[in-house]
Amino acid sequence: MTFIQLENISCVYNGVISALADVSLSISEGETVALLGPSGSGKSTLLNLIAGYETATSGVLKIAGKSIAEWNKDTFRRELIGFLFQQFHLLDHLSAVRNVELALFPTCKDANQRHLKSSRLLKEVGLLNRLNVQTKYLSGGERQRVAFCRSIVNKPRLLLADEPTGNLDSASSETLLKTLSEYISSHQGTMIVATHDTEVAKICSRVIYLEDGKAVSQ
Amino acid sequence: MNSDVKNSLYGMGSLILDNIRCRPLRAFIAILSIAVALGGAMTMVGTSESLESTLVLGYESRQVDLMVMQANKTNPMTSRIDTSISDEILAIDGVESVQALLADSLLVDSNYSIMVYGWPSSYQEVQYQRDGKRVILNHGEILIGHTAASLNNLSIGDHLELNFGEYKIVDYFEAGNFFESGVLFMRLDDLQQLTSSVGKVTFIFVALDAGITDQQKRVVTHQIEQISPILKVVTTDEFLADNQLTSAVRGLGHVILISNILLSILIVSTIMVLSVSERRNEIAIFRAIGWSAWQISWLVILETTVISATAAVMGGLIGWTGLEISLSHLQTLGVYTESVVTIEQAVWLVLSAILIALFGAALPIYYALNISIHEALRE
Repeated sequence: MTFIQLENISCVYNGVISALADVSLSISEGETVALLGPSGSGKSTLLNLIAGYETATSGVLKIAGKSIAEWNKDTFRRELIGFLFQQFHLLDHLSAVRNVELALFPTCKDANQRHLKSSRLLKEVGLLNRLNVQTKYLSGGERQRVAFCRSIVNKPRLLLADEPTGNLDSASSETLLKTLSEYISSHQGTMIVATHDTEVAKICSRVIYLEDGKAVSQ
Repeated sequence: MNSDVKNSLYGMGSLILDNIRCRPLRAFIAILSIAVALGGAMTMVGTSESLESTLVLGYESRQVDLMVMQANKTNPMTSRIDTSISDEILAIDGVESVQALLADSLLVDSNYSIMVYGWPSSYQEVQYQRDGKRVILNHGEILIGHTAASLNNLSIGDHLELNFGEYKIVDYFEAGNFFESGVLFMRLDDLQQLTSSVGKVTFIFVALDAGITDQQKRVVTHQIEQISPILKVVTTDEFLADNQLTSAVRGLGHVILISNILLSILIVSTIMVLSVSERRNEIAIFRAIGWSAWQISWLVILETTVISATAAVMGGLIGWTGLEISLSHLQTLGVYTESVVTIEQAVWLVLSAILIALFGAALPIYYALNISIHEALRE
């Protein structure tokens, strides 16, 4: 069953720079997809479009049977997707557990429940002894695992990851890949990972190559 | 377990306090600016209300219920009515006593003007202590209020030339209110002669029988106005509402209050726009992880509320201190005043804080909701 449908999607910045050109593809629910390609190939733009952070210049983008424009953006981001950023985008002055709790603010009214869910998840990724440490004092790998917990704490149907290992050393990358693999095997959710790291692509069931804003092979 | 539960209570409030703690200097400056603005306004309004309250006390000490004067006079001090009307008023049912007063501004030593009250010689206002006995002012003698003496550097024994008549200050009098403290008292017949107002007075103060109802008060008022079409009858509250000095201070206070509230809105708005601008990335993260527009707005509103509420408390303390300083300064001039801090002032302060928080949050909210997620996260 098609979960994400892109039809002739183009994205042009300032009327000149073409980030995506006439991209069409479909992704089924439960698929894990790697978007491979060099820098500037349009991988991040494609993820941002799917996440609703950006709007396509032309084309049709449907998610779960509905055009992205028909989705309430807040509900969509809150209940449907989780996003893992290359730069982590954590609030450095807050502890690891607080950062994860923030994602639960819109969905869980009970502060105790927020704390318990977040702590449990951080424990699962091996950060039990880092719960109350401000994220600015964590290593890159630890920070990315906190960001990962934040992205999945609401149990999204679609996990988007933009160069998740891009800022990590090889050991941290390996740990994160293990975490992602475990997540994939234990959940039936859909995942799209933008990467230029073939090791990341290996954990995915399908690879889509992008070049100069076009999907050159799927 | 306890520490775990305590640790888990992290909500919007904690997040806001964390934000404020991250930028303590900015928050302090915002709070202090708003507190000073609100405190200054409170001092002005408080001073005006304290002066009014002092006036009320003065009239209450004379048991004045109604004031009779000439109608259609913009400045009540220019009112002139016949002294004989006092007797007609006294004859009305419900009237317990009347007091006549002639007030006029006289030229002192051809140099400056001073307000002079002329009282009938039977009144205690023109009596003073001499050699242990209470005596009535003689012709050519005057009493002086402490403020008038202080401001004009006069004291007992000094001679004054008033409208070319020679007068001697024989004593000070204790003023019932701050206006009276700045005037001279003399015999009514002396003042009538000096001002060519023989048989005339400015006001007739009317004291009504104890326990009189509002309905009966209206009847008495109507009966007094029936004596002559030139008569106007007002209550002391109505007279004070029209009083030019207290109206001016009150008006100024309200202008300062409103302009300071607007200023505070601008301050909090500017600080919050700066704060939102600095936290573009943070707000973009909130939006990216699913926070609704309402939750982002609530975050900004709560932060402005914390700042405004803290400023309102500080402003209250600053305003109260300013009021005490202002009134003590007036008291050095011999003006008796009583500090008045009312529930109404506290309500105004709370309302001001709410207004500042809501209006001050509007622009930052607009700005925050228009942050582009992908652009902010790319910075």
